[in-house]
Amino acid sequence: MAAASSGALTEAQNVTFRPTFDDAKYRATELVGSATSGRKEETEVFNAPVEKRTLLEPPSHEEASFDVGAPTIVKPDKHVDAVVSAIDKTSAYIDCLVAGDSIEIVLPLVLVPQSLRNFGQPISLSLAEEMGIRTILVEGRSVVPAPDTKEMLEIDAWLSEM
Amino acid sequence: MLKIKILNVGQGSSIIIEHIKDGISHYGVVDSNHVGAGIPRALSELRAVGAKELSFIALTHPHQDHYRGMYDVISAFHGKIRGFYTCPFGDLMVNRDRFKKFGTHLRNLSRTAGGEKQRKAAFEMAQILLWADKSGVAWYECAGDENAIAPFGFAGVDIHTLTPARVSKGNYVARIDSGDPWMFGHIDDNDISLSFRVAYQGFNIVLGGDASASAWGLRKKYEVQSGKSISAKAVNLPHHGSVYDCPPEVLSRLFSGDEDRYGLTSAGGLSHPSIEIIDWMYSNSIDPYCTNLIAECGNNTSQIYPLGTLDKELARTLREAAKLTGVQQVCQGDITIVIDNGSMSVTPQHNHFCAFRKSAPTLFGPIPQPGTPSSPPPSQSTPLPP
Repeated sequence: MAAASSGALTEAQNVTFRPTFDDAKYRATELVGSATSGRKEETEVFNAPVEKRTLLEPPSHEEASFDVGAPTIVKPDKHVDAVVSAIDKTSAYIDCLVAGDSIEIVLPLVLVPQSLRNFGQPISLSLAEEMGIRTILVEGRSVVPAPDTKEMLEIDAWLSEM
Repeated sequence: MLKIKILNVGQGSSIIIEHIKDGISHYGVVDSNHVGAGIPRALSELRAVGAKELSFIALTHPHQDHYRGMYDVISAFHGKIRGFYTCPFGDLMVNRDRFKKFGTHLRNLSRTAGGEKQRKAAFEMAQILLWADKSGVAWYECAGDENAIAPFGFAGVDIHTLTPARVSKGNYVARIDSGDPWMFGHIDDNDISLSFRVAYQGFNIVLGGDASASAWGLRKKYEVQSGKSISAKAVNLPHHGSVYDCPPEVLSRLFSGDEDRYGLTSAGGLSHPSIEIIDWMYSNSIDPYCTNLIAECGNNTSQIYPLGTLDKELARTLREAAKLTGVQQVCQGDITIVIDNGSMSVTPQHNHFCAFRKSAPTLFGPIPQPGTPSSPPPSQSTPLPP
């Protein structure tokens, strides 16, 4: 069970903190409980349907001081956004865009469809299994174009003048 | 006096050249790479020495580890840069249609590439080319086996491009003209990389850029026909000491036959330089100086990728496919070559022991040569033969 504040907080701080607790933590549909949960009743909360959790009342002040800062567990992502950064005769070099991590991987070129073998190509990686053999599935993905900045507009103007 | 400072910029390259004559310094920058926060190393170095203008900036080829942060340098010295030497992009100043096609491709990539890194790469290249086109800087696309360049303030310093050969720009230009999506970011762009020989007071220094084995192969034809050799005392190894682009056949042509020779690599240590190249230099009595430590010398710290938000199996698969799993560790750091009064010195920022230098056996015993059985170091108590 998540908590709202530390016992060391003053009453004023506690009051200030509560709206955040109510609004954010108990509204989040991705929340599945606290990583520090160990008690039986909290395990039940962990497995409770999302609808039930959204109806939970905030804990009492004593409970609120229990596990401040406990990490939130979110549903694991089965896809990762990535980008084609280079190819050579046999391999594709892929930058994986994982929050907090930057990981460059090398894949056999045959795993990357021909139409996606472009510099900067946005792709998505996931696991696929066929005949008991697991492999990485590479698919295209859409991106939101970068917003115009003053510098980008300068480049646009330069190109249109050419 | 001539100073060539090879900056430790991780896996990339950035070099500051300073020519001092009559108490006046002139500066040139060959490539830039920028890692971490703050300003690029090249710019902080130029500020530290009080540079007010640049005689030239050189961009060896359009790979990001050679121009990251270059636009920051350009902006800081805007209007105070006299020359811009680049690899052959395809006569862009003359061929405006080609220039527009290339610029438009960069513009599109900077908006729609899948990652921030690729967007920034394209955007910065577009900014550099815009500046080169509009600022009035003297822009030279260099190609040819032995082109002399004469930056302002470098009288007495002979600088020649060694690569690329004129014919090698054909493939690059063809990619632009055909609208190939790899007209930017192609791994073969090393084939058009500039490399330089800087000659001063009888010493030859090679700045190898990322010139590929193929580029050096084309140059060999010129050397055979002209009878000219490169013969350098110090070589900033091409392509960060890559095993593919620094084969013995190439390195033996780059280095002179002097007793004291230096092989300098600007690399992150995780993927470059190759141990085979370091071994080759050792067996040929060429002293290696690396900006960062290579795995074979002890850089074996594994990087942990938590990937906590991913499905466990997907995370495990990505970790197994990770290209670089070590952590960069500094070896010699910045490496400075100074030529003055007819002598040359190589001074690293951190003078760490290197087992692959000629001086090493006198301290720790000889390193067994590849393919030969190891032998114990000579003992002081061994009786001398009669």
